[in-house]
Amino acid sequence: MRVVDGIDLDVTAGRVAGVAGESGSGKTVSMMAILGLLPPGSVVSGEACFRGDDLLAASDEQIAKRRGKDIGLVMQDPHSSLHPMLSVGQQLTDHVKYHLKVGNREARERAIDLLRQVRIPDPEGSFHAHPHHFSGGMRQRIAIAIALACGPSLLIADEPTTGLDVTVQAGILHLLHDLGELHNLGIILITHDLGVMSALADSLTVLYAGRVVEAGPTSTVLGAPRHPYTAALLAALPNPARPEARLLPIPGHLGPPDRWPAGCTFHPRCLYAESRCSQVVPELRSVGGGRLHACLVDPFGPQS
Amino acid sequence: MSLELVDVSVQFHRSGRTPVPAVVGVSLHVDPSCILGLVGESGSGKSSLGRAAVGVYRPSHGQVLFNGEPVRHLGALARPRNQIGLQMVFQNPFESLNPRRRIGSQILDGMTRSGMSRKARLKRMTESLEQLGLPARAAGRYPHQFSGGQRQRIAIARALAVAPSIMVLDEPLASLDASAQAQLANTLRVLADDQHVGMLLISHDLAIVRHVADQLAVMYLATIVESGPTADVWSLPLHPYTEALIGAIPTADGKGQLPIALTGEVGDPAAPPSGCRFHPRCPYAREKCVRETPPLLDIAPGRKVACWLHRPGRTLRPPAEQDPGDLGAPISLPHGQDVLAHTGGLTTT
Repeated sequence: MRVVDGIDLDVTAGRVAGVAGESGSGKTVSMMAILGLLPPGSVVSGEACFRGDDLLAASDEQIAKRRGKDIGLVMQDPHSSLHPMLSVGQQLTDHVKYHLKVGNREARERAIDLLRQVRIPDPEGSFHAHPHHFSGGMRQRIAIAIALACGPSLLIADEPTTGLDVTVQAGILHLLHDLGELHNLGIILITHDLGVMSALADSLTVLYAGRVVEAGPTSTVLGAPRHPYTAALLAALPNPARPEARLLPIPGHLGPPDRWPAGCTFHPRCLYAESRCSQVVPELRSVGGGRLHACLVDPFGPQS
Repeated sequence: MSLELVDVSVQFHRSGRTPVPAVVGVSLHVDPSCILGLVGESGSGKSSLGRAAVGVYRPSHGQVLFNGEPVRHLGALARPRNQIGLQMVFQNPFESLNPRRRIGSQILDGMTRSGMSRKARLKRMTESLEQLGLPARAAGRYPHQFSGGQRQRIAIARALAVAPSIMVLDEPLASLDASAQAQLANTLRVLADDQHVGMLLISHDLAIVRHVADQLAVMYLATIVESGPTADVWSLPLHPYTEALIGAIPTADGKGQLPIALTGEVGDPAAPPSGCRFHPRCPYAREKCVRETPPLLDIAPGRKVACWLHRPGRTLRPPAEQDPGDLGAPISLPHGQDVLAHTGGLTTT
């Protein structure tokens, strides 16, 4: 079963690369592949170059050394990514001691400094507290502190604000933005929420059924989408600027990977589909301005 | 046929500790064909209020009236026949549907006390599934055969089967992807407009509520801080909290703007801040806000707000432009963020 098919993504220091798509589109699977976290039996091809090394070609031990050190990961649900029985301080220092080979005192100082950086009130007191003492938003801040603990140059944030209240989400977005600048991080932001994407991502790659359908600078991709899927996603969202507009759901749904359609996988749900769309897989092609899209019909192109 | 909440409070008792007031003195009314959106952060008491509204929780104070009669506290009892028109859709359709029973029989359950013949009930079941855009054959399937969005529709179809005049829906739009959310939001609007169902729509997502609800009530730490027609509240939020909630919504316009972040977190309902409960997070807070609790006042036709900055007879202005008058000196917000948030969960003093 092929779940991700030919995804290209560039992340540079100090920039945020967004990966958007519905659940099941392959967002998380691609990132797990980079980190060597896919279950045994998975076949990954291609290259993931990180500071000159191919992560996909690296051995499990080599990857394990970099995971959590050079590459930090923030997952969606801090309820399950933090260990409920260990104090926050221990979770932060274990990690630092393992990767950076530092002593207890230095690890502790580093941990408290990190808690301060993620704006946890009373960092010294919080050091000894357990995850259940904190609200969802605070827990996500702690998860971010752990991801940053060993000074990574790349941070992968997988749905970091999903399930949080908007006010809490806003705080996390500010934090990711500020920390990204402070540490000159490259960030891969994975989310289905195009509002969050718009706030944080410099570039945006839209996935559908494991393939890239559109990519480019966030401002142009969201401001003037070129692929019918991107346009359909935006039309389904409530837009505060146009509150009277009716929300337009996308007809049909993306089935499981073994039943994905031939040709363009979006064609059964696409308003602009033609007969050739069910036969030919559209190539991802460059249309200038750093933009790419994969649509044979190209209904929003300049000629149309 | 309407639902009326009069000065309702809900308390949770804890052994050996002070009770937690989850809802304090809330008055609301829901009319047929009208969707009232109840918004607020998690922990604000929205769900507790929703449950009190249908008789799942017994209010510790105040009254819940359905068609003028008190809503009976359900406990283990079935809903009285004259209150079947009041229905609830619970938050999580993964938990509220029985995984081991077919959809059809779960929908029929609700109609056992309706007095309809079996044939009429089967017909009604099919109708309600179809109203939610589900095929009649869905009745023979089990919950796991449906996606999250479809399960939410099934849960709504179950409530709709008894032709309710009022439905209370707890976060029906959460955890759905954008397309399923849009589809369900449109369906709710159709049910209100065509079937004249009144709804209390509980949600933390103000953006989607803006598209669906006629009226809006904003809840903060167990109390209502603002209410009014949705469009008016959205275009000119009067309470600083409402303003912050709207400002925190990121827009998918590609403009790269970070939403406005509010400092701090919702406080502890068992030990709420003095005076105005929002004052520790409010950028406009003044001395009076710390001392005295602002009442929820009628400020303009249809609009209520509980904030010292607004008084009846004054011109409606955003909180930043209101003249603070005699409210005393500004309170400087504690330095940094998230000052209130903290360890201990529900601690008592």
